[in-house]
Amino acid sequence: MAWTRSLESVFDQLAEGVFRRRYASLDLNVGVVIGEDGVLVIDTRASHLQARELIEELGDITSLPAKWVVNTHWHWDHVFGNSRFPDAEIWGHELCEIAMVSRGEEMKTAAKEWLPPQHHDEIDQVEIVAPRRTFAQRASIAIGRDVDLSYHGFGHTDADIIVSIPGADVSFFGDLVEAHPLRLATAIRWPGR
Amino acid sequence: MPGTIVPGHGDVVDSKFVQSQHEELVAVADLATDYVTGEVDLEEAASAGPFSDEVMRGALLRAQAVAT
Repeated sequence: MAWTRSLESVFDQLAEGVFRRRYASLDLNVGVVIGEDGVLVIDTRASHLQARELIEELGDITSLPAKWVVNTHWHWDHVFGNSRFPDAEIWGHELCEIAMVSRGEEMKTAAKEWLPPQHHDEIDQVEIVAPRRTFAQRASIAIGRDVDLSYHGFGHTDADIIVSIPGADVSFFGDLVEAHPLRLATAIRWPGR
Repeated sequence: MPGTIVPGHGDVVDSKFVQSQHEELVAVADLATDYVTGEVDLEEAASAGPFSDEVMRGALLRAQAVAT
């Protein structure tokens, strides 16, 4: 499986100014919302090198800088590219920040248990950067259009959020939804049960 | 619910998929509760779930670990 090359992957436009790119690596989805003078990126991939590739690829759809990042939850495959966005506001649930600050190094161990040895040095080099713009239940980011963030309780992790773009009829659910066999860490506390 | 839902991995889905997955998760959660409270044993709960026995056993054991 390709790690940093996404040759067959392109940005799919899902609505006006709303894109997603599905990477061969980890079958991960990254979202992009185009704002007035910058773009918002939803999840940053699994390493600084993967994030560097993502930033290069953003040039395919916009010349605007990435000014906002949203982490859908704290799992390594969604947040380990955060350090490549030093000028962006990084948003996430308050428990996402706590998890990354307190257990960032443990997350590297988890990543290495999952990944083959050729990627372990790269994971070791990841600089853990946690979201600093955090919230408990709801938040809205004004990027020239509104991007709404909402928290619904325990799900895939304790810190999953949904990213909605009002008027676009598109939402990013992170790993609250997966078309894969389930990893049910907290089934008893599933929201809406 | 929006018409287009982008999951963390894989294909874009619709609200019907999300509703269906939610119902499956609720079924797993109910079985996990029954297992953790001792109303059913592991194999009974695993075989009654909406996923394979292997996936169910993993979910049930993790639920127990969280609950204890």
